[in-house]
Amino acid sequence: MLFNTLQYFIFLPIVFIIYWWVNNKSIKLQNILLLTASYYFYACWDWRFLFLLVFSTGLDYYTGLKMFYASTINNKKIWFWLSISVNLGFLGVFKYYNFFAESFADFLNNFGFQVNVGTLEIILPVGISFYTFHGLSYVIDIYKNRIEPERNVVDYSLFVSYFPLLVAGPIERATHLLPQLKKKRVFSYLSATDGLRQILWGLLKKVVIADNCAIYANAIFDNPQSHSGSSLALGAVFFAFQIYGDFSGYSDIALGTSRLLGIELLKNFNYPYFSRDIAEFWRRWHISLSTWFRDYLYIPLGGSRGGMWMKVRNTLIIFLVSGFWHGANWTFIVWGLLNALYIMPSIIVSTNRNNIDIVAKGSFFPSIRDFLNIFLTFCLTVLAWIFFRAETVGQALFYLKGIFSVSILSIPENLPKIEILLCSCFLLIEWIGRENNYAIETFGKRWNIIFRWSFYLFLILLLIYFGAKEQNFIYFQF
Amino acid sequence: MKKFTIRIVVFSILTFMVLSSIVILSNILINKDSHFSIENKIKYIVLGHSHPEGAFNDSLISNTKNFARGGEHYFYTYLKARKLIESNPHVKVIFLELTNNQISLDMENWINDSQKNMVNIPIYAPVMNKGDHYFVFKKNPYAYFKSQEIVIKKNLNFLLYNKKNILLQRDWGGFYGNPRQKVDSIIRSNKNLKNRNLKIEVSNTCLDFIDKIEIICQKQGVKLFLIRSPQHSKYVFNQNEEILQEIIRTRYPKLHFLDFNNFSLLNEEYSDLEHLNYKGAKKFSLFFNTLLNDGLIHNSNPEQMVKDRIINLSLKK
Repeated sequence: MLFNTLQYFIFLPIVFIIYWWVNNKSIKLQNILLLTASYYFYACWDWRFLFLLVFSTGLDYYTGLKMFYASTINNKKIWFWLSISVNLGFLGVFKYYNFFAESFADFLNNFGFQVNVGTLEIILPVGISFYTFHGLSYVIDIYKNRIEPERNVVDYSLFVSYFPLLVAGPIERATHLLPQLKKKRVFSYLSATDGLRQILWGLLKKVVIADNCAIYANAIFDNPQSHSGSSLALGAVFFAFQIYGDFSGYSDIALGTSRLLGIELLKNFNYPYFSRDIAEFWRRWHISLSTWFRDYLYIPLGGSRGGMWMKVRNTLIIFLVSGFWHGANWTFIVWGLLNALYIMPSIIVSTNRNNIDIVAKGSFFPSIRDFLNIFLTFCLTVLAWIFFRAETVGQALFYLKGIFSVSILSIPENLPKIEILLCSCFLLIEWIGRENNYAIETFGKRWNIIFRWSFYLFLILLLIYFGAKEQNFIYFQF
Repeated sequence: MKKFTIRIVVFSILTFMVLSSIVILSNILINKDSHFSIENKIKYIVLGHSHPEGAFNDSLISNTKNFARGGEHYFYTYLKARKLIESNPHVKVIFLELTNNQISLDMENWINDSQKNMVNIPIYAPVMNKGDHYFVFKKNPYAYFKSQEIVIKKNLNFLLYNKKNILLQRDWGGFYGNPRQKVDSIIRSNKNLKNRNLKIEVSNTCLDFIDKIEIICQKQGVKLFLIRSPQHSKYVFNQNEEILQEIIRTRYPKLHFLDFNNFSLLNEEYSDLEHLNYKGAKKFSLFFNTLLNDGLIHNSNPEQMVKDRIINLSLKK
């Protein structure tokens, strides 16, 4: 079930009504209901993989308890590594096996050995990277004595499978989500209406921006050889808008849905395209994943302690792993590497935390310096997205070669005027609302109800009028 | 919670009303005859599904326009016929395809299927009346609601960009010159011959809409001919031939049935066993044009005329 389908807008009100109806009866009942709804939500995609989700949940729940009550350090370690190996094993089999098998065969073929390695004909279970990371963080936190294990199996299962975040995040932490699941939720009118507004904004990002940009971007990326440099550049910019609208739109719908149910999720995006350097971009893009890697990989590797070499090495590792997390393809690894190279100068000269605050806070126009920095960061990001979008590294290089040709100075053929207008308006609204949690958070809040509702109706009409064909969320494949 | 529920309900009703108003108003605004007009010289219209769509090359047949459309249920053909006749008084004759597969119960899928409805409803929404809306809604409520999103989009686009003729904007059918020629390979593989086992049971819904087309033709003084486009002799779905002939005899005794089933064509002139390709269409359309020029419409026994001409053509070969 996708967030942008009619099924979801039938499913959500039903869950909402029953959820708040059982609120006064017991938290336990409320959580059972949410868990059932979450499993149903997941089963709508493919019920067979529900067993994998339940097994993975059960394993982490059990090993969490076993680790906590282990009589010796060795016992604790055994349970810990068992859980880590099985979790990563599943990820390895479903997501990376074919990649490693094919890469290994290619490697041997280069040396003249003809090897036929069998590949698996399986589809990637949706959300596996996300729920595996939920489980991993939970197990690691118990191992490191940061938290105690959850004893209630329903609450723990809900932490892993909570439907708003199940298939594409945000990647939650036990310390943040579990306490919310254990206490009584109180309905808040303001929070619920805010949630609905965030859902509406998320839908607009997905349906109006991402899906429309996708049409142009797909046409260019599918056939780069027949387009001029300027069209290729525009195609890459459209992909940048597509992936942002798609993923941040998804996150907004997830956060908004959860807010309707009285549960706050971690913020995943914070206007990344207004970043003044790459380090800032990575503090604002897919925040829950970046902080996950920081806390469970970068810091355990030594973080920034231990001198310049360690800092550089660790940074390189997390960007490579982050790239690989996105998919079993060399393009993602190159994308990760490229971002590591972008960020490295600021790591070396320790300027990576120069831009912490909101850009041009309190004023409409940025300074010229900020503007140029934002523009440069955006261009670098767009170049990296080419590797993310391309099917192969070769195709990405061909695409880049096409951009850096004389035809970059020409006017793009078939200029998508409507899409450019949509993206410009979107950018403007995001810029105006950049101090809020999401762009339209405070927009029209103090208006008379007639104007405010007219505004929402107008947004719904935009959704319908500019709504392109329903498309899957890009991050579902990760 | 109470305040939230009340406001959500009120807002949902309001949204529903606004969207419904847009759908209804835009449909009314578009449903003007001028938006559905065709050239005055057109006297003959061809309607039906993919068989006539690929058989009648209207650029080779004088005063004729092919409005047949692949995968189209008789319900949508009826809507089309009704509007075209109403908006174009110069149309004198309708050739409506009636072939073996069109009376099969399997054709009900063409009006129940979500995908098909989501394509067809937006195309014909402006010409639907209350009863038509209720009919498609009953068949598939989900597809009906889902398609309204596309109806709004298409209608607003039409009205905002001031398009003159909806027939140009929406796919109301037309000749399709199929380049494929797969008959030999189909016969060799024997695959399609077995796969086309449609249900023998008759779809009354389909026949009901043929009846309705007959009634509107009678009312408007338009002559209705039932036709069967050429099919390959190896075409498998003819188990219901007797039923088809029975229906023609008993249900449509007043209508002429022009049967081109035995029209002689080479394998390479078919796209597959049931569709002509552009070569076959050319040959057939020229033949049909001659028939029209030789007075097919006013002939007292057009069935016999078609039969004789087909036999003559075969003898010449």
